Amino acid sequence: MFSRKMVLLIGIVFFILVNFIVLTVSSKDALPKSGVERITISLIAPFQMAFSRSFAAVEGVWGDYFAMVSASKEYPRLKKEAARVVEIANRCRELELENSRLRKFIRFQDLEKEVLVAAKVIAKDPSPWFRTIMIDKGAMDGLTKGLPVLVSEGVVGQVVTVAKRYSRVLLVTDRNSAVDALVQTSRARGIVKGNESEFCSFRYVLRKNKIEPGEMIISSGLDGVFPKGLRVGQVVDVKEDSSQLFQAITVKTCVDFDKLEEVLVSLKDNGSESDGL
Amino acid sequence: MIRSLFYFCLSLLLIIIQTSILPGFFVFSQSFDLLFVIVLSLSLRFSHPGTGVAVFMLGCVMDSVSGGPFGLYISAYVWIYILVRSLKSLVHLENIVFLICMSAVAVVVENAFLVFTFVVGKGVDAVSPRDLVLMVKQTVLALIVVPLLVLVVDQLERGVTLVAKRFEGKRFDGLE
Repeated sequence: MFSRKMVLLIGIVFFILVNFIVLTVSSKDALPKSGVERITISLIAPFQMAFSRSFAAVEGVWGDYFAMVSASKEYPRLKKEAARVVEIANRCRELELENSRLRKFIRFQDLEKEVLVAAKVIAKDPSPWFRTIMIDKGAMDGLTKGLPVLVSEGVVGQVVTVAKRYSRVLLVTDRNSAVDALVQTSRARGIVKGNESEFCSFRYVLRKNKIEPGEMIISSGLDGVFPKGLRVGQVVDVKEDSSQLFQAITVKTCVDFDKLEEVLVSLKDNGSESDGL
Repeated sequence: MIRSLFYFCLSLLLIIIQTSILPGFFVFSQSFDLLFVIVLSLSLRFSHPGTGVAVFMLGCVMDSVSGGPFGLYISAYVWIYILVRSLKSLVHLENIVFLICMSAVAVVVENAFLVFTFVVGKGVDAVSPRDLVLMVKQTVLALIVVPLLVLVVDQLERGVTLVAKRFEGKRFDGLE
């Protein structure tokens, strides 16, 4: 009925249609998550982990030698600093206890005990167009999709794919990432959007809010992902255009994503609410 | 069998290099996709239908380890495979100009799919002039590096196959 050429042509047109439909659905994040992704991560990640650990071990031997030399020079200064830090820590402990007493006093209901899981970064995204990392903790360690990932310097990102022992984290610098945030001093609210570099944009901040370079941007906790008060970045540039409703603010992230080796995944332990009160 | 094993190990090595080593160096962190070397080598050297399946699987692996929308790498690799398969009958396989052109085409095809996913997912504004500059940089770099790497892989594969044949020959001599 149909010639061979006709069948080939119909096949190609069908293939192109299916291809673009799948890509369109996938781009809108509407494609249901298949097990293929999790299985492939579970198969590839052990090799990535073995390689990155061996690489880090070799690098570590070299680095340790130089660290020892500089540590011996820095030791006297650090000893003095440590004494000062202990004093500050004591003061903080006192304040923490006082805060806890006062919260009880005002029946503060929003106390969540945070459980942090430490994870190592074993790989980064193969494409320069996306900013994701692979970590060596997964569903077996209690991780689920949407959990916040942090380091002491501030917000890193959120878990987007979870395999049995490994997970993928979407960094705040990815163009698909958004964090609801506040300016620490003025409390002006906006959204920190990734820009594929260490400089993110702080969007939807009204022109009536006066913001200066150097001000700290913290998470507002209103996105339901990141806890309130975590450092996101520091304002480096503010542009006000009289024709625009919002200001164009550039923020430099607090975390150096090029040197990220270990991260903390925050597991919210809602069951312990009563313990806190 | 030995060829399949060779390409499997090489693909795994390139994925690890691309995800665990290159991102640590600023110069290489914005490099093109190294798996083009495997896709082009397979498409140019083999006509077996299994090659298409292997290219599809490679795309599947890259889609899984990348943060991009699922299907991006599969689409790019399969279309590069189809293009090379269709055009290689028209030119001499040893033609270096063809290899250089195909290397550039590979980057362009992948970036075209990437732009398509950005535009569909986030609108036209999602593609910035900085992205276009990076695409041009990747294409220029691929023009020089990919053909060289394909030739190196070709020589390596020939060497490995030769060693394996000699080893098998010696084993049969020993049995006799």
